[in-house]
Amino acid sequence: MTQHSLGEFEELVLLMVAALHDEAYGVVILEGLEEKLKKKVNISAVHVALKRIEDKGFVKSRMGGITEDRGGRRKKFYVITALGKRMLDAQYDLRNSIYKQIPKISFG
Amino acid sequence: MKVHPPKRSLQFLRWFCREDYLDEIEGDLVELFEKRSETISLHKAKWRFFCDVITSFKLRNLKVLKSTSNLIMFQHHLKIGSRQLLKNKVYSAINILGLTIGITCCLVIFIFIKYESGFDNFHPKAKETYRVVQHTKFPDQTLYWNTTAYPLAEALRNDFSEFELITQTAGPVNRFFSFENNDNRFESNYVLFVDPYYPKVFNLNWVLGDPNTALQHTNSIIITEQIARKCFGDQANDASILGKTIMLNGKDPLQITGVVKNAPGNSNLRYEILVPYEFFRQNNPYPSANWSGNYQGTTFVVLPDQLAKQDIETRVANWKKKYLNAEDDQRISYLLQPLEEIHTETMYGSSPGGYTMSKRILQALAFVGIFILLIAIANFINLVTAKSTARAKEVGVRKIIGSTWSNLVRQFILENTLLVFITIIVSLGITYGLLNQLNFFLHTIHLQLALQWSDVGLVLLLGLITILLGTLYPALILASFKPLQIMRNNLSIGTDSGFTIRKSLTVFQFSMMQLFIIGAIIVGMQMHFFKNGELGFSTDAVISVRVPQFDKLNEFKNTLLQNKDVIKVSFGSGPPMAVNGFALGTLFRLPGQPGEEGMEAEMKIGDLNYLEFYNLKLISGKNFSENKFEFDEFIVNERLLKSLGWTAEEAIGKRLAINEGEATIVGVVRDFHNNSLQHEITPCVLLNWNHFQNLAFVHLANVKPEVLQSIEQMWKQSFTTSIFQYEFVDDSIAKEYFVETLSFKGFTVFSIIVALIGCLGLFGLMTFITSRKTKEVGIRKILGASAAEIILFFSKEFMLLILIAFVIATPVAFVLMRLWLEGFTYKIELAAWMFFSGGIITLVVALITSGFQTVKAAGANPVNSLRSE
Repeated sequence: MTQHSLGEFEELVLLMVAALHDEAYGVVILEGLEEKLKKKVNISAVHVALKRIEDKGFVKSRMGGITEDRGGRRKKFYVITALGKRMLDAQYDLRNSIYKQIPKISFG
Repeated sequence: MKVHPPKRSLQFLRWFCREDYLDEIEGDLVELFEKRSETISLHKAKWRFFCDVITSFKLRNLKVLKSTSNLIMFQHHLKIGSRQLLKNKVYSAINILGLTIGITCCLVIFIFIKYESGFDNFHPKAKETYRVVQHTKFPDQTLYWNTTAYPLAEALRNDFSEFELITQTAGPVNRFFSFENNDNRFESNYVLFVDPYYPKVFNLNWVLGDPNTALQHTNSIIITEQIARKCFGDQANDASILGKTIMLNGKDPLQITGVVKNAPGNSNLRYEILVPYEFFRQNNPYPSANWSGNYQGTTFVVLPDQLAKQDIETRVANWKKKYLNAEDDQRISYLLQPLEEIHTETMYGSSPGGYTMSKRILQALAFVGIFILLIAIANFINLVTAKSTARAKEVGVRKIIGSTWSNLVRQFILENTLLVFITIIVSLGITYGLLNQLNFFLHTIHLQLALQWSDVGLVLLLGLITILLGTLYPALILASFKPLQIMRNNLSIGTDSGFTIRKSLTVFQFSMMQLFIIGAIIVGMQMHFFKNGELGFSTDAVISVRVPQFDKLNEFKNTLLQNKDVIKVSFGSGPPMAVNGFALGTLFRLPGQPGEEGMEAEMKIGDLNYLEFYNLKLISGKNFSENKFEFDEFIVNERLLKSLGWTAEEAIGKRLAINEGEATIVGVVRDFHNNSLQHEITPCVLLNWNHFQNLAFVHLANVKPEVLQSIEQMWKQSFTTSIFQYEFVDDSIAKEYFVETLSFKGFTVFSIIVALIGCLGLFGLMTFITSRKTKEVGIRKILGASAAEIILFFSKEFMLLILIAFVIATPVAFVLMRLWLEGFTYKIELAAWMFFSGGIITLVVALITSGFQTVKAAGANPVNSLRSE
């Protein structure tokens, strides 16, 4: 199987899932992203991104317990997988290595 | 307090979203909503929730697409479908445009009919409420009134216990008001006098004030929001305006006791201002106690037991002699008319400010709507079918790969759904805009059409029908394709049966097109006849101005005549043709003849100039010698003499009696249309009376705003009460043909629409046929056919279809239009040219439309079409 790619928004969501470790579900991911990005993010976009990275195997999910809130609906928590972590590392390294190649001279 | 997300949005989410995703999506959405509702307004939070639900409506989340193979096929079909649409841009545009026009028309008509047939059904007791109507029998005719004598309500209340409620109204009438100081004046044409029972029968939508007490005091006034805004501006909804004083006609102080919402458009009961009936009774003691003659009183009764209606009517027939004199008792009968039938029954006419819309017109309109939709669907089927046979090869490949019949059908359904879906969205948008335009153009009848959710449901239903019909035929055809034959290019495109169906659809379209064009021509001729018909008098550049003070008439006239823009001035009770539903009625008979043998006549009052002013021709005798407070001279029309059996010469000098008194006939005037052309000329008496001269007629040399302004200035010099108001007599006469003008405009618009859809269909079909027959055309050209022959070769077929359609359409049009014309007393004669021009216009339009394609096909180089095999 070919290596999966990771879109920009998917990467942000994956980072947020990793950062929130074991507490990540739709709403908190959304809020985290909105806070960091300083702009409105659509919840359905987050859902789609979560589904995609789950299909690709970067995260796995489990259902939470039933509570009074949320109209009695359970939360779906996401945790990053080893594959996901490797993907993030690879992305980070890739960017870092290219970043380091920027000649300092260009900007005086 | 616990907040709840909007129910409908939630239902929608649960409906489309797959079960295993629901916990996450719904939960997150609800949680977000709960959080948001603490920081932003509930309304905004609900809106955001709705937006979230809509954005979650994604393929991935759909219930139906849970299984992957379905999803893949769905995506595949969607992709192929949209590519097909984009590839054949002309075809798609034609198809979408045609169907959009059809669905939009049908929807607008449906909304209009629903609106017109739902008049006054919103009152809590609408089903149990009846209006008392009066039939008055005369030796030569029966008159139908929607008004009754004022004391009737009180008498019914005393003598009949079956009625739950009885309410009496007077008006609506015109009054002028002032408030705060005398400079703030306004006028209302809809002042309705109502008794305290009125708010119990009819829904008034109170904004301020107490419905139970608002009408208790004689000097109260209830105003609508519109009037409140006019008087008090920003404070209109403030309770402080209750108790303020408004002066009626500059002399009677009335206290505001309530504010109600404006009268809804779909109501026959027009009001802007409500004043207690008691006030009217005290100020008009004579008419309000009088049983004889007809006054502007309307009586409504609430009868819970519907079965008792006939019984009550019979009992009232025997009971009325208690109050009516013997003569009236014989003539008059009282009947109960259900409230919900008032608007669609034209017999009793409309009350001031209202209008009636006959059931027949609504039915005709419904047929028009259905036919336009059918034409549009026929068009759709034609185009889809044509297209699907062109895609035979694709179908063949699919079949060979293993596609089943149901797979293919699903694909076509999806493609049609895509088309119809776009159409529906566009239609709804257009309808929304169109309704606003309609409301604006028809604001004179307070039209308030609106798009409702149920209408969207109707559109979806129409869409579904279109999809089914549009899919059925291609699906059947395609199922019968043998894949091998298709691949070997042996398919006979458009089997015989297919062409018959397509041909009959085209014939249907063309017949409809001709029917509508013939209809539009005939209705147009009748309208032309109405507007330019010989009325027997002239009204060019004549305005009528209300003159409130009789003693100032001469002064006003003299100032007017000093102005060089004024040619002539005359005073009278009304223009020669009764307009705005206003006519003075009376009975005429020979002196000494008993009262019950009197016959109905219209009474007109005019000054000495009146005949000359309106170009009314005297055929014998002379004009009045002077106007008096006790009239002594009559001028009558020929129609009246006909009732008496006199000639114009022998009538001169004879005495005649009317209800108001006796006088000598001094002149006979040639018949003029004293009623609008839908109705016959009736007997008419002109009196040299000084009463009722409450209109001034001014003939202007040129109609300019400055002239009207200077007339207003002159008016203000002479009159101190009331408000300057003018109307062009031409316009008031044109208003009498409001419904006819409307149906003419409707017919014109609808025939253009039908023609347009027909043309679109023909254009699409010709595109298809010419492309299918490229090779045949090539061979024909090589064998020596000229371009003209090729064009004829293509045109021949649909010319034959138009001829068949003409044979079908003409008799139908003839019967329908004769039926329509029967409603008019004065009408045009049907002529053969009206029908033939319908056929010829259709033919020309069809030739032009198909011309684009046929000329292109005829001009093509045969080498190009024959080179590739």
